[in-house]
Amino acid sequence: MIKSMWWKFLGIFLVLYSIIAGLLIEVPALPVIHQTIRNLFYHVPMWFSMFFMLGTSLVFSIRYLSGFRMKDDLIASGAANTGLFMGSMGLLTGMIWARFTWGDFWTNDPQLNGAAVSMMAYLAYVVLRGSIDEAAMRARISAVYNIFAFMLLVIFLGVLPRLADSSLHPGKGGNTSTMGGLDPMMRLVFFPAAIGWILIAFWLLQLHNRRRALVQGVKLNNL
Amino acid sequence: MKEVNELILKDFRLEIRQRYAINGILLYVFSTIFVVQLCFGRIIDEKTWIALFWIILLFAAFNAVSKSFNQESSSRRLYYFTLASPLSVIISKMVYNTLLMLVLGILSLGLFSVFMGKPPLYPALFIPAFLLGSAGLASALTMVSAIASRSGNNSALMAILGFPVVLPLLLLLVKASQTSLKEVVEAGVIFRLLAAISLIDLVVVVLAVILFPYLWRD
Amino acid sequence: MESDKFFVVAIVMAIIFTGLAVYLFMLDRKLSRIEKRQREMMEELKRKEQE
Repeated sequence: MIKSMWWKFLGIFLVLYSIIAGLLIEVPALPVIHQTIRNLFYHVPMWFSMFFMLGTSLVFSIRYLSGFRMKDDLIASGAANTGLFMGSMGLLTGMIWARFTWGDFWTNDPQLNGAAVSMMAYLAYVVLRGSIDEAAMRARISAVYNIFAFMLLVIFLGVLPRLADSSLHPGKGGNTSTMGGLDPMMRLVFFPAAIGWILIAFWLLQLHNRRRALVQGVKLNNL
Repeated sequence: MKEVNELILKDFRLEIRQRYAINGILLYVFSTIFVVQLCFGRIIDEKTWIALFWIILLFAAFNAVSKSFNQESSSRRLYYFTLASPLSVIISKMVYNTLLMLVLGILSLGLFSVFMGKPPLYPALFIPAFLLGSAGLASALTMVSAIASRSGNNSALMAILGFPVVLPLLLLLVKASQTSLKEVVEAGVIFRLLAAISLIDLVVVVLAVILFPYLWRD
Repeated sequence: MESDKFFVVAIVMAIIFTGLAVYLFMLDRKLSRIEKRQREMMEELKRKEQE
């Protein structure tokens, strides 16, 4: 099933649909952000797919520590790389969006800081992997760091926004939520967009892993 | 339990015997605080006081803890490996580093008060937050230094790996300290902040106990 | 809607994304071919070893 193509086409179809529909539907008139609310369909899915990738990385790191198969390590590191890629896209697009709505490229917003720290942790993961030569050792140590960092990130992202007094992002702090009260029309575009981008991210991950497996000669029988 | 005690005692004896390490850190704390005093003078905004206090303590902790697995060169580590279980090794290191961290923290608190005056911190919030926070910082950094020590062991790597890990705790501590500037803090707020800090501590300790054996073996 | 000419932007973005998707798809196919060749080579090697 994973090897088959249908989910890749589904991903392409959903993203294509979200690109076209996202521009053509009527969006509610909102203050400050105006028409840029359409960015919701393009910017937010980047974060969704980043978190799916980092979650995949965590799962395979745990699997590595329970079985010490090099295959799991390869997938864990590939997922971290793909997640970093999606995250940097989210950060860049978010910065541009923030510049034109909130007035600055970077605001001291708990969600923004959370995203930046997640990226830092996974960049550290990449550096850590680069600093160990022996493959089995690298796999083991980086899996430990991956689990440790991910758990603390979950706390960071879960606890901190609740302690902060205000957030510019919807649904947190004193701001009125737009995610809960998302326009039904926009929902019809947003959720397919998120799913589509997650599928595309998994496709990128699969390509990355297959290439690396070919180079390193690791067998990835079912993926 | 006895093993843990022995290991803590061993660390303590080593520290006493090679006094340059601990002296270095104490001097480091002293000089940074002195430099801060020279730059900012005595009159200092309370929020800046808190931020500087935790930042200096964080860097002191990085310095103090980063060498906790340095001394264990590979042959000596092999020797410990045959003698002690990984569980007691990590617990003893965390306890020892927590004690070291508390000493450093109290010292820098004293120096800060001497050099820059002490803002009115609400003790029922600040003191437990300080104790729990120091324990958490020390434990998290112990684990990070164990990771860094298995990878070529450069101190830059320790900083890179450590920052994302301790940042949640550090921000919470700054938040708690800033809240404790108020004259009266409600019990509910205190409870929420302390619960969040203890939660992080707990997660760090549990993860360290689960994951350390994987670092320790060869 | 007509005066906004949003549909022009939609078409442009759709074309770019389709191009990317086609590129990814070709990459996927190419990888599959190389994987297949590698498998065949491995099998051949095994057969030679057995002989």
